[in-house]
Amino acid sequence: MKKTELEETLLTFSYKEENEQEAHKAFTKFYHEYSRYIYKVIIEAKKSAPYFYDDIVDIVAENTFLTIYDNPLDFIIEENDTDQVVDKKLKGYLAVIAKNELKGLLNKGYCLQEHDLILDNEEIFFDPPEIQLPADNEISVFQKILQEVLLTFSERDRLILLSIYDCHQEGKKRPKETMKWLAEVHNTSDMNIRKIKSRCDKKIIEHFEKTTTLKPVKR
Amino acid sequence: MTKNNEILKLLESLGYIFPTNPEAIAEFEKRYKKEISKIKPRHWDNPLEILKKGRTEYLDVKNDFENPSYEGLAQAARHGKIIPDDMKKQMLEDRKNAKG
Repeated sequence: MKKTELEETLLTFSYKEENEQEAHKAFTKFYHEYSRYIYKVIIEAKKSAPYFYDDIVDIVAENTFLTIYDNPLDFIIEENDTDQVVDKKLKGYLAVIAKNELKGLLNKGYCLQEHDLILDNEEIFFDPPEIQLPADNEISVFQKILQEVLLTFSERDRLILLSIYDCHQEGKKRPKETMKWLAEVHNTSDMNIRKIKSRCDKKIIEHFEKTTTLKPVKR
Repeated sequence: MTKNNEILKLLESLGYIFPTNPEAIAEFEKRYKKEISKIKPRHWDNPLEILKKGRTEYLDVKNDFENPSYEGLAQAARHGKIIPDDMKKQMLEDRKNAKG
């Protein structure tokens, strides 16, 4: 969808109370344009969360489209952005909504007990290790190296690690909640989750050092 | 800082985590182009059903989780909460007896 068309679509959503029919037409077009992409994103992400029914994909997709339909003007289109940039930004924005929807449903589904976790001011904990990849290779080479090392982890460690990484850049509250459901779902302690993260981070760095010419970035 | 994290970008481009970085999105689309075009979303024929249905606020938790990867997942999936230690012990004993 081109930038001008997207602007018009979002504006039509915002006037849904005044002109419902037009808003419905715009919603149908918007769904046809972005639903395949967002489904694929959720399908792939669900592979890291195999403990849910498959209909979680439909539910998260539905909630994602409802969120943008209800709050269309939260997505900001910059004046200087090209069609292509806007397209990527929107897809990223929809992925963030989908991620939040999934995490929200997870918390409601699994966090029945309060946990005493100390995680405030530790957002950095959720980040993957910082490395600088050499510029002389195709991304597919690095994708393969990363896949190789991830496959050396146990399924449990891999699922925990990917869930942690997926929480990067989120607010202080969200990581705390995420640790809560991670501990709950995996029937373990936050201390153990920290150990798994630390161990896996180290292995990732070592594997990249071994197979490429990268230098780790000091934090 | 995290915006430029290379591992994060790789994970996003593979779809292991939600792609939000523009470069990773481009790689993700390139990698899964064919598969994306073949997907038929549930409400493709009538997207307005989503508006009629409204939001889903609660998740149905699996209670018949088959082939769990390991005990923790199975427990959480069956019950949506942690199993008390005494019940866990009993379950392990039951399992041993069943195998024996």
